[in-house]
Amino acid sequence: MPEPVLSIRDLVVEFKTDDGVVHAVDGISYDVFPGETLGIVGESGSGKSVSTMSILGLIPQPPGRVVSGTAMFKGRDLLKLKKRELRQFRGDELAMVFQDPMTSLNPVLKVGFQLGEAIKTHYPKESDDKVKARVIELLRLVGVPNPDVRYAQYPHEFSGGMRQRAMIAMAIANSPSLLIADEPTTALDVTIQAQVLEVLKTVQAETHAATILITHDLGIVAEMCDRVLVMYAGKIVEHGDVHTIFGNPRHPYTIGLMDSLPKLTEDEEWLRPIPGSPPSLINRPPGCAFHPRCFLSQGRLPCREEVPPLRPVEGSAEHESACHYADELAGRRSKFAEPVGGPA
Amino acid sequence: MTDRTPVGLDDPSPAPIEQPSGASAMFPAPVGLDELIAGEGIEVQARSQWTYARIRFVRHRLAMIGLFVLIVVFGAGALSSYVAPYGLQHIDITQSFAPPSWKHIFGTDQIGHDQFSMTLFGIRTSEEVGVLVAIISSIIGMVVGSIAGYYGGWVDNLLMRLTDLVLTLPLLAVLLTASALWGSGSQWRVTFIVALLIWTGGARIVRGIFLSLREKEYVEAAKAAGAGDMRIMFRHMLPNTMGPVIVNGTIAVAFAIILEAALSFLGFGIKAPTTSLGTLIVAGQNDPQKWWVTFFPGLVLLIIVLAINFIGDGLRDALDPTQRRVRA
Amino acid sequence: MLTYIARRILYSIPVLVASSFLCFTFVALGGDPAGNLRQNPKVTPQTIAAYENHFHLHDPLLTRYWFWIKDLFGHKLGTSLVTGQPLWPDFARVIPHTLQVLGLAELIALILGVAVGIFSAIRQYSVFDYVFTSLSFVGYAMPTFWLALLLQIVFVDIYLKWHVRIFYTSGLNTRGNATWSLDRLQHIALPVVTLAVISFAVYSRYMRASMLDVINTDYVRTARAKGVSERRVIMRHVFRNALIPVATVMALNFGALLSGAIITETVFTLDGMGYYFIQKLGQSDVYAVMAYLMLTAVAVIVFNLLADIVYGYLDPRIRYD
Repeated sequence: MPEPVLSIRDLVVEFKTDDGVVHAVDGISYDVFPGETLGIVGESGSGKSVSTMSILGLIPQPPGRVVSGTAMFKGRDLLKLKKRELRQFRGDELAMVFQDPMTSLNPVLKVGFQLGEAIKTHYPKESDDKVKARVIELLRLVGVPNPDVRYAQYPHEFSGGMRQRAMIAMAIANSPSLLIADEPTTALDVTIQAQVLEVLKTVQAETHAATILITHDLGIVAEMCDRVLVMYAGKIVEHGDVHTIFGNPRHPYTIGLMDSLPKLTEDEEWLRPIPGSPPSLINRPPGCAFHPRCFLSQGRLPCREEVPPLRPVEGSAEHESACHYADELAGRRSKFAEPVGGPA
Repeated sequence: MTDRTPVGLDDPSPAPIEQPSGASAMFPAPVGLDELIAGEGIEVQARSQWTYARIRFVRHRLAMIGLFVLIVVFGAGALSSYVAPYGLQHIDITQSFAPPSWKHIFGTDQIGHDQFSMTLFGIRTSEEVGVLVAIISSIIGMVVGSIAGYYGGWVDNLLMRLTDLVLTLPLLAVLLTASALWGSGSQWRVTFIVALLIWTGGARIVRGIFLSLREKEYVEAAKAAGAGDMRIMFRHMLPNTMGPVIVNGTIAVAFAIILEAALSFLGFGIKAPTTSLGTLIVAGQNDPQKWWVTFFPGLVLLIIVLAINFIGDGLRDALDPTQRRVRA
Repeated sequence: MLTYIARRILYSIPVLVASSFLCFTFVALGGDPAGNLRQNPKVTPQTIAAYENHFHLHDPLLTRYWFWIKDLFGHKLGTSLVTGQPLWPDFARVIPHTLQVLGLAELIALILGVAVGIFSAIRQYSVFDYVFTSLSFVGYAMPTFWLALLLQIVFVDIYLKWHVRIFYTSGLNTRGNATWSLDRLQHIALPVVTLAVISFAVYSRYMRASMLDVINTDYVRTARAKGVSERRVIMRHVFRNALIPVATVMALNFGALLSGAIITETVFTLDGMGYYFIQKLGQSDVYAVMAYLMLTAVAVIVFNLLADIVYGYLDPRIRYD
């Protein structure tokens, strides 16, 4: 097992608001290995974005606060670094692509300039010509047509899909070891989504960067990811490799997520949403955060009182679930599982 | 402990069984969502939009202070005939230019008018002018704005060009000219002149809202049901403008009061015998050593405008919370 | 960019024509230019009739408008109905004085307002922020004429009490001093301060709000994610975007500035456009009044044009408007 690129342990992040303290991330730990794509799945408010933004230092410190935890990257703990040191990693070894391409680029600066800035910030000695050439090359890599013309244009002259490609180009400009993509396709049309995902795959192949792909779309996870992390109410409730998670989910929430999706190859009369809504992150009820909506719990005492720890499923440390009764889900196949006896 | 047989998710033909909300054969109703809420003693109350607005307003400290101050000041003005220690006609040459004292809180002017009483009468004039101007200009603005916003097209274009034209000339210059030509010192003429020139802001706001509402489905639905233009405008669209119109109207009161005071200060507004804060302020110019003549009426004017501004901010917060709150 | 400017200029012309007509109608309908003459018992009816004929006062409105326009361009702003003298020399004299005061006031207000706005936004909720935000609230609500008069009173009293002349409180110059002399500056300091205070309150408030808006945008987050230093983020990404609404406010504020000029020039008896206007208004000198209104309309339109150009430079998106 190679060394992980990023190693997060016991990360806790909270926000002070007028209504109380929001526990956005409540003790999560995971690793990201070189070259792999890790998917983080969850609803809005599950803490998936906050966890990655906090290690990059992009959470405004009031009202946000990293309470505890470590994030080891290249032998340094990102959470303990001074601002200036963290800044040297950002955009260079660690890069991020954000959700909404329409607002993520500065409207008054040319696109070429903004991409060049990513390079020049970290390599100020590079000549302007070299930087420009590299930017054009990057734009070409992500599939922006006529990159030499587009270089001198403003963001409003780019379409949504093109802007997202430019964002991706900007993120990989310095060949990062870790790329974090926070819902990169959520704000785009479905057809453009597919194109942007292709770009991400291309980019990964070129740079061999480890990627964290944050999304609420299971379809994207299935297509792009090697391993999956499922988050709920600030905690990781299940994780494993993608085939296992889709084929053999062992957490009622994961199952609920999959069941709420329609399966195109079958006739379904009813869609099955998960009843209820996510809990308040300010006043957490004791016990498992999911239990009020859980079909498995049935109000059993441990669910109501004890927070379930992440435990290996069937002895395998690669697949863990945070459910008191995960064993009761044994043998259950999700509707997306390959049919028994067919190709694995 | 309930004994449940795990139902296979790959069950070929699940028959959906009628069960309470959100539940099905696969997922018997999870225990206790409602019980949980009731158990924790959380009460859910239905509240009207205005109640929410009132709560938000009350939370705004500055607005509450402004409201309190304004009630006191305007109240004193409205009741000036009873509250003022000295009448309008009272003069006392022996007390000419007396500095502030217990007998004359704001001092006296050259012929012995008690400045405190004069200021109170001036406040009354200001509030009469301010409120009336705000009401009239809001109505004009609503009419023009709704017509422009509802019909759109060339009607909108024409009306907006006209309002733009009104704006190309600086307001005070136009007001001064109008007042010089038609004002002749009367409080009511000045009121009408000011009202006729400051409605453009309100018109723009109403027009903007109408333009965006036009596209909404419920307007189309009302049209399809055969509702006439007037009815649609009044019943469906106008109520949506109430919040911003009220905010704008409140600020208009302050604006009108300042304009009237400026006009009177320069000698083209309200003239004697009606008292205006503007005329009171300018009276102190020739005797700069008697600073209280200018200072107090102006201070009162500043307080009125500040109070109204705070209230306006609070109202904006309360009635339109979607607008990003500029932290005072 | 050039087409944008050209289009803006072209658009201004009909506006100018329309406001000239509006202006003329407005004033002509209201006043009786021969009113002063009529009131004077020494003036004979024949003189009044000749006067009216000479100035075409009995002709229909449009004709009078046409004559006025011809007069305006042909004889440089026409002639005063009261003095019979051409108007342009008067205006040529007073306009630079007004420009000097307004220009200085705006410059100070803008520089200080933008600086304070930036600092308040960066150090939100600090003592600096609270103090200046409160000051700007008061400055915004402050009646111009009261502030002007108070300043005058204070400095006159200082002179009377201690015989020290810090700032002059009336007039443009003591005899014989030049336009940019210390003496002139001492004379216009108080009116400049009066106007600057109120503009400053507006600009600092808007700049602060605009900075806060921009600091929280996604693209600033992107810049930070790239590893750009905070100082660069503020200067290169936030500042330019934050200036855009301020440019708009500047244009809108111009009318208020001209109104402020009327007030301060009257209080401090400065020989500027505003004071001239007040005097002519008092004399019912209709043509002079109209000339003033036309000039201010032109000034407003020109200023808006300049603001639009600056706006177009700052924000590339609207160049294709």
